Amino acid sequence: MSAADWSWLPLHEMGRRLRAGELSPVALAEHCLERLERLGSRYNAVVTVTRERALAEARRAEAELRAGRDRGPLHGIPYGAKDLLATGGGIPTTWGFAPLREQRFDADAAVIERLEAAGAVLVAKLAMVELAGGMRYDQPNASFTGPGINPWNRAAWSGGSSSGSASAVAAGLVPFAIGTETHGSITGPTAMCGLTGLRPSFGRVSRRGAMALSWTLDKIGPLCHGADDCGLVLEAIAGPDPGDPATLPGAFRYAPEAQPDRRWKLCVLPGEDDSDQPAVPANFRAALEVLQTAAEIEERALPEHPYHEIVMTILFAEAGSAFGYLAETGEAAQLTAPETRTTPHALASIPAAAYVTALRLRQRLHRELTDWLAPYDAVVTPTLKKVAPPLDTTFSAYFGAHRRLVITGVGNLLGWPCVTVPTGFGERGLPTSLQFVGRPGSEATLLALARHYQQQTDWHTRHPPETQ
Amino acid sequence: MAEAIWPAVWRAWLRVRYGAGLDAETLEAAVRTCEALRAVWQPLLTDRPDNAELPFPNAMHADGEPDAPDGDPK
Repeated sequence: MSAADWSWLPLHEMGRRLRAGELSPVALAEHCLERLERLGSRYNAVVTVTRERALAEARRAEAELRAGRDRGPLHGIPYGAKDLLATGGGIPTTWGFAPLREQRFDADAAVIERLEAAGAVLVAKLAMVELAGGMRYDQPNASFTGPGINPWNRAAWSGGSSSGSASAVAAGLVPFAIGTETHGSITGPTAMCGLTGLRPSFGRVSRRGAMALSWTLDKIGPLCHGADDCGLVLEAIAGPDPGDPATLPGAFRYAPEAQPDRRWKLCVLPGEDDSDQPAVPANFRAALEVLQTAAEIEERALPEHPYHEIVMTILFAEAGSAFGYLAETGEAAQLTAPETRTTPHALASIPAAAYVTALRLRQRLHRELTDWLAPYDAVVTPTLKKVAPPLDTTFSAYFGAHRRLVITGVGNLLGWPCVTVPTGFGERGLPTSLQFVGRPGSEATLLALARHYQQQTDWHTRHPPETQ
Repeated sequence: MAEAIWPAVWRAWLRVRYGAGLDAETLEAAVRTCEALRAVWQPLLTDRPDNAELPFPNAMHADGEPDAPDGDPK
């Protein structure tokens, strides 16, 4: 195997070679650093290459592995982190926002700490939509690093807000990356770039040291090539943390073989595969045929409720508290996306009563939809109704009536976990995707479903051309 | 609907906040959309608000054990 192929190894295989001495952590880190430095700008994927830190961590991993000290499956494996996760040691954390180019923190975010403890090697801080997209951007150019560019088609967007995390993994610059999601920021980019993504249950992963956009909606999770990779990363980063009072008790242990031997029960939502791009429903139906070998699939509608209104009211109100200050400081004018520059001024107008009402409704819907979901292991839908948009369009013009799926609002509103998997290709050679969404705490089931699908298909092993 | 509602409110807010004056058309759009939101939400709300409707931080990460009887946190 040549070094060029290292980028595409599954994490468990990469780890096996590292422990067997067939691959060196330092050589692997150098491989990723060279690709990040050479190719990162091609995709607007990188904010900071953390060369010095990466080589120090890789040398330590190499010494430990040689001495027989094994920190687990990620020991010696490089990764990139979305640039809203704090890093100490003088490495900037920019939140994708030009005025914060030189922002520095004293300590690492909890997720970075945990990955370091697991022996993973931080090689880059990755580009993102400014302020995680909370200012209502409507086109791809919404970061001081430029629009995220899709490795499958460089005239297309890589998605947001975890733009660089997705394009860096898809282009083989890093074996995996960490992203965040408030309302679609892991699922969207993984779908657009043909990756497997995991949005954990709310509270599964500590957000200490992560930029807050929405305290009651923000989640942190991995972007990878396959479901097994996501499971291994989640195991390393999940668990309670006194520094984030929203974290759930209990660790997450990824044990795919421990899944019960039974048929799953899945729910398909009527209308969620409507699209004016024929490949989206066609690839979804083909995926359902694969899943039918191991699952009973039933069509059932969600109860009719104003999910989108509720989740966006919560998001806007909390984003207003987080970033309303940009109106007072004048920094709002420095947002890259012109259509967002009035948003920090406007968010203050969300009435407090509307916010509290939205929280009350969320609690009511939590009870109702927990019962609705109980008969199923997961809801399965396309992740997006269209493939990635061209770089030179607005989302409102491109997506039109196909902009949002109801399940995206429901899943984020209620903190439900989600796993996305690639299902083939559509217009302009861009990937299509489906998502499994389940009850809080059901990550193991969702990953088992994704793993089953990926054992029958090879979409997650395909790589974009022109990534060498 | 929310993205349609809040920008209508925002336009009215921004005009007042930054001294452009609130014209009847902008005000009407903001009021109309707020009424639309209320019409969608109100049927889901109880007329007798209950303290159990909102989760509080101690419910979000309870470890299953109550505080000590004297009220001191564990």
